[in-house]
This record gives sequence, C-alpha cells and structure tokens, in this order.
Amino acid sequence: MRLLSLEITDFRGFHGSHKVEFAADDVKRVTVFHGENGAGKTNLLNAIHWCVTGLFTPRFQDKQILVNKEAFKDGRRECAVELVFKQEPESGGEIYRVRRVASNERTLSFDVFKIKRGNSELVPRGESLVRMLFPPGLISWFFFDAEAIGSLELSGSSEFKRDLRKTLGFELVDTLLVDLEKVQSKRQREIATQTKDTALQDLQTQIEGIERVLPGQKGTLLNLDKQFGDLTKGLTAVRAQLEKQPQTEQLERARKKLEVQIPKLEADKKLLGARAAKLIGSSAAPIVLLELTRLLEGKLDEQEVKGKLPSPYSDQLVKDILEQKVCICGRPVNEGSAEAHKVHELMKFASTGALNQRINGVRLLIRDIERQAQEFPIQVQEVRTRIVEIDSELGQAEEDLKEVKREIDAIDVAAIRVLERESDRLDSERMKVQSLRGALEAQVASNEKRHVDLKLQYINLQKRLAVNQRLKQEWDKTTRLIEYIKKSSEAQEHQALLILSQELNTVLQKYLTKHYQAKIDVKTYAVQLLDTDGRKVGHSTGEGQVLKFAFIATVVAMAAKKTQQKIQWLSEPTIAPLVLDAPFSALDPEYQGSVAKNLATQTTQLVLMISSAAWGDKVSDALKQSVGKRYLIVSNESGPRDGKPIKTLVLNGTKHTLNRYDAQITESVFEDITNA
Amino acid sequence: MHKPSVFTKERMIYWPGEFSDVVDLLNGRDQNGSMVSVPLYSLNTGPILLAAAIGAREKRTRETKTDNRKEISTATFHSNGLEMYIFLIPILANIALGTEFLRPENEEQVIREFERYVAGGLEYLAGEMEASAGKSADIIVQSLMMKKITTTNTLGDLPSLI
Repeated sequence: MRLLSLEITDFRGFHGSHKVEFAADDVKRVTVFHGENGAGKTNLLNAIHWCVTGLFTPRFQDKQILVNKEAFKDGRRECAVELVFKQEPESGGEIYRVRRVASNERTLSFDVFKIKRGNSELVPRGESLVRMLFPPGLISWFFFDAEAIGSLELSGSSEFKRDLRKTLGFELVDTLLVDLEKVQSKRQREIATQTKDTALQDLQTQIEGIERVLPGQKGTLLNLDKQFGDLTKGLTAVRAQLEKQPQTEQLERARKKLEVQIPKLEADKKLLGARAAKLIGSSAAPIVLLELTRLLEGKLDEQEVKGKLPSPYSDQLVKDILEQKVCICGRPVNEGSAEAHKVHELMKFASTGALNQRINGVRLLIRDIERQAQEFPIQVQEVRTRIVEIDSELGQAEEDLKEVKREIDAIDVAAIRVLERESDRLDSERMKVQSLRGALEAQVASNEKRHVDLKLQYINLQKRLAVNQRLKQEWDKTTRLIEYIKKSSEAQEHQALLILSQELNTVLQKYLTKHYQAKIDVKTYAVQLLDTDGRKVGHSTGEGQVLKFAFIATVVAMAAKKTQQKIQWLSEPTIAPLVLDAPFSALDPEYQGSVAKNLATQTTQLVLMISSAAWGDKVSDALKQSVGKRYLIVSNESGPRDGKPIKTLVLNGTKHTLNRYDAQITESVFEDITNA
Repeated sequence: MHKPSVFTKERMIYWPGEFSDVVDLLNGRDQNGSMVSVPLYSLNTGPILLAAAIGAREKRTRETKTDNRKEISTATFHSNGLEMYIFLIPILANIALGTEFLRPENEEQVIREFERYVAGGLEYLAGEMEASAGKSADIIVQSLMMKKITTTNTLGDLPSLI
C-alpha cells in the first residue's frame, strides 16, 4: 500500500489543520520533510504511527499530552490524525481513509472509510482491516525512529526473533504447531488412560506439567527481553543528555568509551579462553601418545624389512604363484607340497595395498603427533600470556570506569545529579533484568530438553503396550502432521534466513568501503558483522550502523517480496511505505549517500524526515531522481528573536528559512517546496 | 578431493554410557546438554579419542556392557580426520604385535581393542575428575598430558589368597 495524504489537526506541535501529500508513484516515490531539531519530525512520524496503531514509537515522550497546547488554551480538547492510503493494484487498488480522534486522556474514535468515487463509506470492523494491512509485528520495521537506530538490538533476543519470524511469515505456522501439539498431548493422555499403564500415565503427567509451565516461562522471557530493551533505550537517552551537559561532556564520552572497551576485552578473554581449551583438546591425545609412538617406529621399519625378501613382494605375487603352480624360479609348486606350504607362509608378510596405505597413514600420523607435541607448549603459552595481559587491561579499564563515575558523582549540579541518579537506577534495573533473563533462559532450555526426552520415553514405552488401534492411528496422524509441518517450516526458515543474509550482503558489498560480511545465526537470528578475518565488528561502529539500516531495508523489501530471490512464503506479502525519522543523523557521512540510495531502491515508497545537518550533497544526489514531494517543517516561535539563530537550508540554489520568531503562536507548519 | 575411509566398511565404536558425564564435561555441557563451561571439544570424537589415548598410556582396559552403551561411527572419526588413531592406539598398546592390527582382516579386532582402551580411559578420567573436583576440565586435562608413561608393576597382580 502507499500513503497518499495526511491531515493533522491540533496534534502536538501542529495547531489547527495541516495537510500534506505523499509522493506515491513508481519513479517519484520519495517524500522528504526537512526540519530542524524540535520542529516536529518525530511528532509527524508518531502521527502516522499512532493513527494506524494507537501506539507511539518507544522514544516518543509525554504521551499524555497529545492536544496542541495553544489549541487547548483556546478550549479545544481533541486532536485528530487522518491518513489516506491506497492498496497496490494487485490487492484491489482500494483507497482507504483512517481517522483517529483523541483527547489527552484517551482515543475517542477510530474509523476506517473506503473511498469510492469520491464518497466515503464506513468500513465495519475497520480496526481488523487496518491490522491486516499493517500487521502489528511489522509496524516497528516500517515506521522507524531512526535516531534510535543505535538501540536496535540485532544480537538475537527472543523479542527480536519473534518479530522477525512474524515479518518472515511464520506466525501462522507457529500457532498451528502449538495447536497441533495440544491435540497430540490430548491423544497421549487418552492412550495412557486406555492402557492403564501407570508408568505411561506418569510420563504423560510429567509431559503435561512441562507443557503447562513452558508457555508462561517463554512469555515471561519475552517480557524480560522487552523490559531489557526499554531500559537500554532509557539509559541511552539519559546518557545522551549527560553528554550534552558541559560539565559531564568529556567524562561521559570517557565512560562511553570504557563501556565499549570492557565488554570487548571480556569477549576477547572469553575467545582466548576458548582457544586455549581447543588447543588443549586437540593436542591432548597426541601428547599423551607421544612416548608410545617412539617405541613403535622401530616396529614399523621391521615390518617393512619383513616385506622385502629378497625385494618387496605383494600378496598378488603369492596368489599368482599358487594359482599358476610355478615359482618365479621355475620350480613347481603343487598343492599340498612342501613348496606350496612355504609359499602360503610368505602370505603372512606379504604387502597388500590396504596394509601399505595404513602403514603410511600411521607414519604420517606419528609425524603429526610429533609436530603437535612440539608446537603445543609455544602456542598455549602465547595464548595464556595474552589472557594475563587482557586481565590486566580489563582491571585497569574497570578502575578507570569507577574513577569516571566518582568524578561525575562529585559534580555539584542539580540537573546532573538527577540525570546520574536516573542513569544508576536504569543501569541497576537493567542488570537485574539481565540476570533474571539469564536464569529463565536456562530454565526454558532445560524444560525444552526434558520435554523432548520425556516424549521419547513415552513413545518407546507406548510401543511395548497394547494400544487401541483407533487411538494409535489418530496419534500417528497428528505426529506425522507435526513432523511434516516442522520440517517444511524449518526448511523455509533456513531458506528465508539465507536469502535475508544474501540480500543483506549484496547491500553491504555495494555500499561499505570495507569487505565486511553479515552473518545471521539460524538459532537466535542474531545478526553479526564480520571482518575479513572472521572477527566480529561492533554494532556501534559506523559500519555497524550501516548494517542496521541495510537490515531494516532488506526486511521491508523481503516482507514485500521485493527481493532478488523468491521463496515460498507462508503468508501474504506486506507492501508498505518505509517511514523514517532522522535517518542519517546516526551515520558516518561517508555512508549517508549510499544508505539513502539503498533505502530508495529497496522500498515501494519512502518517507524521510531529515534535518539540514544530515542533508548533504551525497544524500541529495542519491535521491535526486526519486523525490516527488518535498516539505519544510517550519518552527514558528511566538517570542522575540533576542539574538537567537535563524536556521536555513539551501536547496537547488534557493535559501529556505526553517524557523521564525515573533509569530502569533508557537507552532509547526508545513511548507510545500516541491516546485521551489 | 575427499579422501576415502581406510576402513573396508563403516563400523560402530561403543563406549560405556555410564561415563556420559565425563564426555559431556569435556564438551563443556551439563547432563541436559546446556553449555556450562568452556568446551575442549565440540564432538564426542574428541573425548573418546582422549580416553583411548589415556587408556593406552595407563594400560587401563575395560569391557563395554551391551545394556548401557553409546555408539559413535568410524565415519565420524573419518570426517574429522581422526580415523588413523583407531588403528594407532591398539598398535601402541600392543607394540609386540607389530602392524598386524593394520591388516584388513583384523579390522573388527582393532575396533574392539580400541573400545577397551576407550572404556578404560574414561574410567581413569572419571577418577581424575572426581579427585580434582572444582578444577576446570582444561586444567585437569593439561596436567594429564604432562604425566609420563605408567611403568609396569614388576610385582604383578596380588596372588590369590583362596
């Protein structure tokens, strides 16, 4: 679907009614809103997000104040957002108008109209229709607050995996499997009751016990994931504010650096520990055997000598003599004769192809054992020395972090104290949630494994019992169906992730100056950027940020089946515009142009809300061919200028003003500059 | 090019299931299969081979009972480049026999001999781990690596007192 227009009335910074239209054709499909910080870009993104879902993006603040303050002073108590969009022609091409009206306290109405020949017709159960057109699991990808891109978690949390599974179309099959497993469990209980076998009944009781608690545990885990994500976002926001304070700017930067460095050192230490363990593991058997192998070598030489009488002979030679009954010297070798007996004896020491191959194999192995035994002490020492060095660096970094904290705590400025207290609170909450999450993850894993084990025991026991044929057939049918669906869903999941990672790498190859590769973990869906040596590249680096943008664009393109490769989808494609607030502010300038171009290519419709600082020549050039609509979000201030700056933006040689003073009221207004 | 297996056919190597916890520990896992420590190995071939090597050095053998045994295929050893150890270890433990174990007709005997050292080695490892409770697997294994060959007990077995 494509957005056609948006009308905002008394919503947040927008006083009265304001209407904008979106570029919606195939070529000119990009709409750009230029506005400075505080002009209303995030309000605009949230107007669209809220109109469709009734919810706001995570960083949207003061959610309880929706009605424009000036309008409120005038006695108006409602705000409204109306969005008009059109379905793709292959989906019917219908035009809909969605209108949400609210007071500061609650939503007052939400209506969906179908527009037919200019007339609006109310759609019954419009909310369901909108949910179908904008699946809730996808909204966070399509309407994205890109300033929060830093907190986009690609490290494979349960919440991330669930959202991505929904996006890839597996929600339906997941629900189906849950239902089928319930049916299977019910059949198992019936079988246990019918057989009257107490052991089988006991197994089924244990299985049901796990099935009762597991969904709850998984639900709690998802909640904890969400809490952890929210706390991280909150902490990032507080720390960003501390970085803006002149007294804490340097300290906060130092803290940020140390907080990046410490986990990196911990990860390096873990990696080295794993390397040492692998080294010990692979060298243990060779070193244990080393002394024994020295005794063997003489024996191998002896074996070779035995096979040389007078020169090396093979088992084939012995067989030929016995078959032809003539020795190579010409003497007859008749069956049962002393000569034949002697030749038979020769077989014992004859070389065979297989024997020679194995002797050579053993010799090579002994060489390898000697080499490993020689190299091991040096290699393990190197790793252990590096671990000691890292330990010392880690200790120093932790000490420095404490010192930074002490210095921040010593600053006697009320605002900083409040922020630091909030930072401490969020950090400690975050640690608590993380620890709860870890413990629960272990419980879930253990219960899942136990569930599998118990089911296996149940199946084995059931095979030995006399089970009613009808019950058995029903149970077999359900089991086969579950297996089939699981297998086919797994194959599709792998295929989808493979395509996702291929598409992602195509984008990265085009736009990154370094040869980095993205890898997606099939189990957790964690997305990791690797350098040419296969080492992990942090998500907070410039390249890590590009990865996140590339990931969002690829997911959106896949949801719309707009990828180079196709897979058999389990759900209908979702074609929706990508609406991004502050898309390039988090990016290194060198990547802004390429990311902009990629976003425009991957999406059917793109709406960007962008500040003048992030609008450089590279972005402008990248989007030149695709921008169809362009607006300024001008900030009008009712107060006097008093030496405050006037911000401007130059586009195609024309200078545009982005803020004005001495206005009648404080408000944000749109100015259409498409043809300017 | 993929090198073919030196075994004439795929065979099973059995080991006593009662030592699963030793194998799990060396693989860094608990009995539920969850990762609990830094693994020395990622597959069972690693702990099994180590056990066989220790069994050979310490001259510890043991039979594997059929009622609680686990198996691992020679093909798994082959695909991990460890197949020749299955021949080498029985030869090292029976040097007097020379390379007889390498003859194709003796394959089954090699496997059974290898199994005996695996079981003996696992028993030895279990004892070492119990004695070093609290230490990590890498430390225990590293100290075992440094041990010298057990010298034969010149006194022989205790005489029967019956």
